[in-house]
Amino acid sequence: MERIPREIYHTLESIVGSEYITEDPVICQAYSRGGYGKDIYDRGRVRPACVILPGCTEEVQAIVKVCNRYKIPYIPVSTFYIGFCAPTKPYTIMVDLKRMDKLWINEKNMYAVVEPYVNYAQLNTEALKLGLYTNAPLCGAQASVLANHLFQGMGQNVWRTGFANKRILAVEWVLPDGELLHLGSASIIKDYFWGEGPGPDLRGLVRGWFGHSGGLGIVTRIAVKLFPIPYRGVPEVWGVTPSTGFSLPSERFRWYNVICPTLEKAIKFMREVSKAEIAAVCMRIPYVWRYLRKATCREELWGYWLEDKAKLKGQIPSIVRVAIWGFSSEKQVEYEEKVLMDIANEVGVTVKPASPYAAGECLKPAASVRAFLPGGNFMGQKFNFDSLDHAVKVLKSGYKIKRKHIPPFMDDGEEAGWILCFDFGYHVYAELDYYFDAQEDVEEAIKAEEELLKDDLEIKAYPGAQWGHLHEVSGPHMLNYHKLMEKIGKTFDPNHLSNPPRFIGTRKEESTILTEVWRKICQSVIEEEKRRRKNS
Amino acid sequence: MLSLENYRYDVENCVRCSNCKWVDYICMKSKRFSKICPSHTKYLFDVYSCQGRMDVARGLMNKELDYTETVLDVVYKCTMCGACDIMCKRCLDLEPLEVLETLRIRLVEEGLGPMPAHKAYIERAEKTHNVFGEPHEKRFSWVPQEFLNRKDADVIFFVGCLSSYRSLEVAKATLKILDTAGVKVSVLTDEWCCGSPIFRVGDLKTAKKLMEHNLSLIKDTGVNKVVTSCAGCYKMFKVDYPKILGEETGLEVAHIVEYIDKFLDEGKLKFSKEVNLKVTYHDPCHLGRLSEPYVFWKGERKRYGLTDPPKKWRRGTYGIYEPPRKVLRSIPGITLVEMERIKENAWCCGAGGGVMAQYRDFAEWTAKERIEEAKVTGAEAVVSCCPFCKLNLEPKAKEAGMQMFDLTELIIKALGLEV
Repeated sequence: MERIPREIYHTLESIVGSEYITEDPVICQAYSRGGYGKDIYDRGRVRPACVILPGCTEEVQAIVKVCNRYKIPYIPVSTFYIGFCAPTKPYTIMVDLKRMDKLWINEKNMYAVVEPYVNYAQLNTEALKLGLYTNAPLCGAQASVLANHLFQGMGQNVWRTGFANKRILAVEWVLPDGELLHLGSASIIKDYFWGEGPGPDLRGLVRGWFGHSGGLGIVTRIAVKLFPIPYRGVPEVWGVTPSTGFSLPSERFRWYNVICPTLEKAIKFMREVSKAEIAAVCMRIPYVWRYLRKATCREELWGYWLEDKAKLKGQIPSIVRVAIWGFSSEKQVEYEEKVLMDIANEVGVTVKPASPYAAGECLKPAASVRAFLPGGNFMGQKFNFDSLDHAVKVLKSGYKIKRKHIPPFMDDGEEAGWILCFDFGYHVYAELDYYFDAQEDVEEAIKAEEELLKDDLEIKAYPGAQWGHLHEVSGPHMLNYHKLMEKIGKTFDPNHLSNPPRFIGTRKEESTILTEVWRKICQSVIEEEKRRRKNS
Repeated sequence: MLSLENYRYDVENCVRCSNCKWVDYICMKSKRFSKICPSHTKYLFDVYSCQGRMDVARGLMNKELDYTETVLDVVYKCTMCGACDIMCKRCLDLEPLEVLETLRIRLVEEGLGPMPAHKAYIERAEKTHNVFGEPHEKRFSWVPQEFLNRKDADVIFFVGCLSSYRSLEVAKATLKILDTAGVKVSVLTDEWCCGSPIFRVGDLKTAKKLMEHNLSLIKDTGVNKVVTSCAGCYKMFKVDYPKILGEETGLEVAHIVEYIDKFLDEGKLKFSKEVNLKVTYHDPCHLGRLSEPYVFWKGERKRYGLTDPPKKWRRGTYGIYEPPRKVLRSIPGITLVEMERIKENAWCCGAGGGVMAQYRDFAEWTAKERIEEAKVTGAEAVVSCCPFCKLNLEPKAKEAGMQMFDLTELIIKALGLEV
């Protein structure tokens, strides 16, 4: 890997101090891989040239400015979970934001201000002590609150908390060129309580629809909404690893698994729950997750699953997880439970009480990484946002594509996938997962990913969320949104330095040209250094 | 078995989820005490986390990295506490700790490891059979004659280097407890270092020599029950001996706390004195999450990473967590208050993995962090079941105005005895 010219390195070193910067290849090696989607989203990865750990916003700004002065690409990382940020360009600097881990909770006004290295487990742990909570992503509570809000922010609790863009308040944002911009109330009165003002509200831009994955600078501080929960404290933990959980008082918190004989019945049930505006959680879970959650090892998972799948003879039930929380009173629980039962009777589905320990996995998901258990890797596609009917349409259509790849993909018997409802079901997200061998099936998985997206476009669905490399495929079918993204990118980041491997589907050619520009600039600095040394 | 190449699947299939850095999210009680890896918490760069070390292992195996001083730094600045291993195994079927162990073995094989302080104590152990370089005779000089090489013994008390030379109070208390309970206990005069501090830093060859000596010594007595008061020796006999030697040792290995628990249930020990103390309990890594018996497995990874034959995993579920707590609660006058990070989620004392010998500042920093956590509970004293934990935690406990005990010391007080 090419070394950063000394002049640039020493300038960076002067910002953070020698303790917090390195170009040692051994240390840099740990920043050369992606996380989830290993060998897929980090194809073409290279070892970064340097890793730097800023301790505050001013240091981040200074680093980004140096990068712009010398045209050096940089990639921000924090909790490292699901990082679409493996470097692919020479001279890349990894900006590890681990030292920025402050968390403040404003109990009265129900919001939290977080720096990049605060995760959901930490936030919900502290928030619960104050009778507050927020959604926690299904990918796991180790995800950065800040990064996840900027990226997708989906999870069980979105039934009430809504989509991530609605939970963001004021923002502190280091733009791709190093300028500092405060959004919302942080801009004028230096308070983070409100996103819409006074001052500019560019939350749509900082976040995009599905996030820029660090492609538009570095957000260093963000205020996120918290929501009241009828519990205050630190729940007592049950069990020992790997089966742990906590429950919340049953007078106020109840959990149900709704067993639906068909997907259509599940959708009808969810729609009725939506109309009744009850519940705290209402989400369709892939059936195989019952096994993933309980299996003590991979062999047991496959063993039990294959045995039960054979018994079910292709009639895999649809499971809807529902939670009823008595936000206002115990009577609310009683009332909503009655409504839930009535709906179930009318629709013809069975409601079974679920383990009260579901509370833990809902507020601080700890078992999410089990998605890797069946084969070592998994992928999701069909990231569609629209309505319940739309979710059924895309998932069923996607299932036909997925079937073609079974085997080698695991036959999880799913005709659908995850169906998450936001805002009491007025906005619905669909995701189809497939599990495969991490060593042997990667190419097949990549092929399936593109086929599934193309299927969406063919059936005129709305694949509203795509990883960077697929924007070019979906963009032309959707008002050329990728061109808009490209223009935003060029306007804010003309040198294309901010997380160049991402947000680039549309800037690929430009990226190659710019790579050469960076290389030339760095080489010229090196030559200059050599000349100076020789002369002195 | 103990070759890095045998763990290629584990190295390549780390999914970089960061579970290795945090306590189980369900069990997290505060942001302040939410981290579990001392090395990553102190040194920050991701390479100092387990997932970072997996990348280094992969880099070395694929010849993307050279063996450098930094590799040594990264690999040895780790207490081998196994927290990463247990947190990883909450979700995945991988062996991170065994990767770290074989990585150290590889460094020794390459002639690079272990670190200078480790080499020094290994040399001492080879010469004097203890890591301190003390005369061998001193090892058992404190033992009353009737317990030395006892012919009618039912149980061998394996004392360990630390208790023999630095924490005599633990050794004496343990012997007294066993005797009081009516156990026919013997201390072997030719006991050598169990090999733990040596294996832990990757010197498999020297560790094996010591292990083979101890095993043969014990087997010659005809006694198959071994009790120890050191968590390090305990895990070594119970887990690492079979792992390294590739066969069952035929020994019934117990930690003294398991015996005490049993003796109390059976009425063989009865407390007569109150010990008025509010205490908190520190789980030693080697007695807690890493103490499950070793499970032999010889097989291969098939499609989807399935193990053939199916492998049984040690996930830290059956560590010795309850006995010390139960014993503490049964002592009259003792109030047990828990820290936030306990049992499988315990924060390491900082001494293990050769860290105390080579990276004193890191060991002290880790201990300070643990004592800060203990202090928050309002306890007057920290109790543990490992002389090595005691050795490293005690100075920081004193600085914080707290006392530090090995559990055996409190048992002696509660029994109204003296050592």
